[in-house]
Amino acid sequence: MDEEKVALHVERIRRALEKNGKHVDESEIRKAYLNYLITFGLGERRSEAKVLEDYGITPEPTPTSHEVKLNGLVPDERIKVRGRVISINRAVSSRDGVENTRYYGILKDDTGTAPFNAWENEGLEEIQKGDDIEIDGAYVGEWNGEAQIRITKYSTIRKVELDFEIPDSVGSRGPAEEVKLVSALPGRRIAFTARVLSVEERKINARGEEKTIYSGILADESAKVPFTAWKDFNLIPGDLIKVSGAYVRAWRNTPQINLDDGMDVEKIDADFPDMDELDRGTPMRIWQVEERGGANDALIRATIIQVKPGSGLIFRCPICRWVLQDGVCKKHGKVDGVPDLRIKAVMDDGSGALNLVAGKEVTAAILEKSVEQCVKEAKDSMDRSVVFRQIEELVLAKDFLIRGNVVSDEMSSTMIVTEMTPIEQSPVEIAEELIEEWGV
Amino acid sequence: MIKREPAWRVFAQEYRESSLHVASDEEHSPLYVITPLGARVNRVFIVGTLIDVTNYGTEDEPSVRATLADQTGHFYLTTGQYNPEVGFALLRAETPSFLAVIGKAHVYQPEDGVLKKYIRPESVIQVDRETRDRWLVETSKATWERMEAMREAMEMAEPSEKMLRDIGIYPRLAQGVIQAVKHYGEANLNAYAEMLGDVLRYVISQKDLESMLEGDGESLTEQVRQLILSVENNGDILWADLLSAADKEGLDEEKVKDEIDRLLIEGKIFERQIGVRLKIEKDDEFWS
Repeated sequence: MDEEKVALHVERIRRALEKNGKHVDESEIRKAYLNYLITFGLGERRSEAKVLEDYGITPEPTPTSHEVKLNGLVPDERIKVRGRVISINRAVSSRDGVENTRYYGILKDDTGTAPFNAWENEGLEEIQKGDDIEIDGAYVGEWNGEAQIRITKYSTIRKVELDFEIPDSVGSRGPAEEVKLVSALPGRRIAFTARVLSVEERKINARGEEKTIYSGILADESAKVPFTAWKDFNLIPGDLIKVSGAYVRAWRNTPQINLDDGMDVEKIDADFPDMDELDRGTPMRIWQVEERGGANDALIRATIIQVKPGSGLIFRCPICRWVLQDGVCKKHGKVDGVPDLRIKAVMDDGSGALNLVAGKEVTAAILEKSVEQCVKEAKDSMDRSVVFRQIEELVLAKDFLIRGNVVSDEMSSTMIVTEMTPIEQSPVEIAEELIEEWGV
Repeated sequence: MIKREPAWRVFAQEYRESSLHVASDEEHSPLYVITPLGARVNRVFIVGTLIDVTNYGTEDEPSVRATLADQTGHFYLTTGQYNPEVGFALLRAETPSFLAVIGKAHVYQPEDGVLKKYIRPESVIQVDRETRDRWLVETSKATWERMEAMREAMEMAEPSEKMLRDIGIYPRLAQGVIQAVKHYGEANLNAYAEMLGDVLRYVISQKDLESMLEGDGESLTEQVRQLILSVENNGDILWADLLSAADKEGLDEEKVKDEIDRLLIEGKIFERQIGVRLKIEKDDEFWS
């Protein structure tokens, strides 16, 4: 940590407080600032604003910024943009018990479209799909090689009447690009052919109104991608569909396809891998997962190079499922823990590295014993870490075929493992094949 | 998203023949050793035989140098006071024994034109022969992939990262290959192909060793199997009966216990009451 920088921020907070007639001890400010910065991992500016907020001060609104069109977004600029909301989604995540609401979607003007992403901005609560809005004081960021409008809590958002027409075709991007699903990256507008692997009907409550949506998994031989259909296209598992003009958005930084009015969704009959062939986990390498920012039902061959603390036998709070520390839940205090098994580890295939989390079933299968047996062994040896060491022995430096979904946040990517099996083929056999294949 | 540096699989020969290292422009400037085949090594995953360990530090604050040999040469390991655990682990390890090491590239340039390359272990893991053999074939595959990428680059008039990526070579490797081509010129692919042939033939030669070891194992398993069948009653076996029968047969008690442990792990036999009673499923093919 940069001591000088911290001092600078603390001094700025002190002055801002003084200006508001509040005299606060520097050490106290420092403590509060570092709490946000380090304990909660907020950025420097956010931490500064949070401390001011704690003393009841709303930071001054930031000055207006220059207006740009969506086809002219340049990273790191502060901007004002106006356009129509083509899609908007809300996501709530929680970290250390603190809930954060994020809105994200796609904005469109007469020159193009751009994804937006908003943290802690209540101005978006009222905004719906189809609204014309102005965003002032946003930043242009970059995500997956594309410009993204980053809305901060200091950006202002209001509904406006646009003095330009929104073209029917999706702006300057031209016709949707024909792609394989592996290239369906967030923010893109695409055309593709895929099979519906699964679909389920869900009722959601959108602003007091009940709405039926259909969500499931689409697949081609390159990847599997979750989709959400906002209207009933009568999709059933097994259908082969040809889609043009679909939007790819990011859900937990993983691509997801939106099917909606105004897109061509056509059921077709063509030569295409069948359900069995597709429902297998898509073989991928870790660099590909890194490029995409995530993956759905990927199948990766990798070596476990680290088993992380928190693996093995754990106890969860019976009320909130949080992992207990020494029998104590952060929220509910001392409780009777429910035993559970888990592996947290790092896998590496030489092209990249990924975190993984495997739950009870997968862990029990690796250990070849049940939770109850583990509890018994831990009791007998009076040592819970006995299970951790067994896991280390069974997985460290060993190769596995690992299947699951990969989700990402700003810090890292993690695979939630659904299957994890050791490589069966013997090294001797592989060596014989390779000599044959390479002629070495 | 912060991408973690992958652990490259490289043989000692390729690492030893490297004479280029670069520091990146990022924060903390990680170091990369660029190998002749374009591996851009910041982190490695290596498995080999620990043949030599020396402590230049103290008992409490070890500073260890060690040598890990694979089938193509030696890796030199160094540890410092910042990670004493790894030093302790190396000092605890037997020589020779199979070790897996995850570590960081580290270089020392005593004079111009001389580059000494080390690995600073982040963790060391005791492994068995099969894990070592698996590493040999996996590392062969990774080396071959780099050779293919290098072959492509050598055929291009003016190779670029983009051209390599366009033909499906992954970004990190494309970057490394271009750096390698600029520094080393053409790689001697034939020499590396020969190296891979030697490594793979070595792995195959292990097959004989395997059957020798297995042969030994099988006979003991069979003896213990017969022993158990001679004392079982409806699938129940008393430990006391089993050990006295073993004694009569002149079998080593410890060996029999080890064999029973193995059968327990394999799920062929179950312990009903620890130290008292065992149980087998007579339906199991193994017992019929």
